[in-house]
Amino acid sequence: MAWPLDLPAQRLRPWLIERLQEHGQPLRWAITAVESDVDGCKQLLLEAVVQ
Amino acid sequence: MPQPFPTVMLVPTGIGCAIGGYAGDALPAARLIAAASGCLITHPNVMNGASLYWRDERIHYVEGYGLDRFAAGEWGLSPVRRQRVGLLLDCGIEPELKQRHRQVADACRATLGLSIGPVLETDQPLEVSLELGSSGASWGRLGHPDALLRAGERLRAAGATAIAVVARFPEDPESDALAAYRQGSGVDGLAGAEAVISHLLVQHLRIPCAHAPALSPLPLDPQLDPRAAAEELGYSFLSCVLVGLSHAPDLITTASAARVGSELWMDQVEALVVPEGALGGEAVLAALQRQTPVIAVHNPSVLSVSAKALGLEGTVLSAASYRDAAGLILALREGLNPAALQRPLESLT
Repeated sequence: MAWPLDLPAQRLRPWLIERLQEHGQPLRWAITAVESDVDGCKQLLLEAVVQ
Repeated sequence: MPQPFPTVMLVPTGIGCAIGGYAGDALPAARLIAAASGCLITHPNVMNGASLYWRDERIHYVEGYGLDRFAAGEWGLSPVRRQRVGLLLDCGIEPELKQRHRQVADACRATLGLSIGPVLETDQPLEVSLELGSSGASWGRLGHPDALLRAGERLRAAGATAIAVVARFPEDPESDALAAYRQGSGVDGLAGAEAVISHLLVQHLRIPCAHAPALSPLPLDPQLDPRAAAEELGYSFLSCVLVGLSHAPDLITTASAARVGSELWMDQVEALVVPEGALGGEAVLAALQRQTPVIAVHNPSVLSVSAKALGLEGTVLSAASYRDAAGLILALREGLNPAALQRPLESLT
């Protein structure tokens, strides 16, 4: 998912939980990679188990 | 000696860490961090060495889901004198292997004096399957998670205050991945599924739980890496789990009025120690959110979610090794500014 430019890493957790809750209740999850687009925007790759 | 400096140490399960990615091989590092801090909160992947274990009153053994809730400030820890550890066996385990595990429980009662029991079986095989994520981290799923939770509820109702669960895991003794792991160059393919099992139980029951896989003994491997060797000492990986759970703290969701005794909450934690490429886990993000100092240790794994990747350079303290991390913790515990220990030391402007 695209990482909003105005969201520091210190505020990622609640934002990510909200995104995960769209798929179910998160049980175990982590950011497993951070990739940069050609335009400098960052993409977060997550792996998660949701219920 | 100054007051204890409560520290959380994480070595995430199933990501192939050079230290802690095998059979409890982060235990020496945990002992060192416990000695430096005087109070360490860590999880079974760090402490469990199959037949090998280490007991240290300064170390609090907390399963990963409970540790995530602790880091988020939602749950606290309340140390206890002992837990009564119920044993939950997957009914899909073959009779002889099941008997081996019952004998491990008996051995821990007879030889270590632990309180273990009752022993119950699931009413359906758990049917564990193993998976690898695109990152290379191991994950897994259960065919019958409800059977796990039902058995956990029965154990708790029967008086267990903690639960050791043993599930039959699929095995392929000829696989390249297993050979790589045994020879010290691969990811622990079982670890991700183990975490899912214990997370489910802890989320549902809110009592200490940990998992040991049931597997057939492997043929001798002359190239066995010392870090994986603890898993080849016997017929089960259960004894470390029983020892760890026997003195694991209770998981509490409400602080007592005056936080009496030795209750621990995240706002008392002074530092969190984690491999430098594993900063994307929930507990680390929770620590960053709470502005708890994070020490990122050089400990290569399949992940590269580093301080640089997350824009945290200058926020996260770097340590070249666990020896270095222990030195940082000791300095902080003594009230020393770690910057004073490095050169060059810039003038104040």
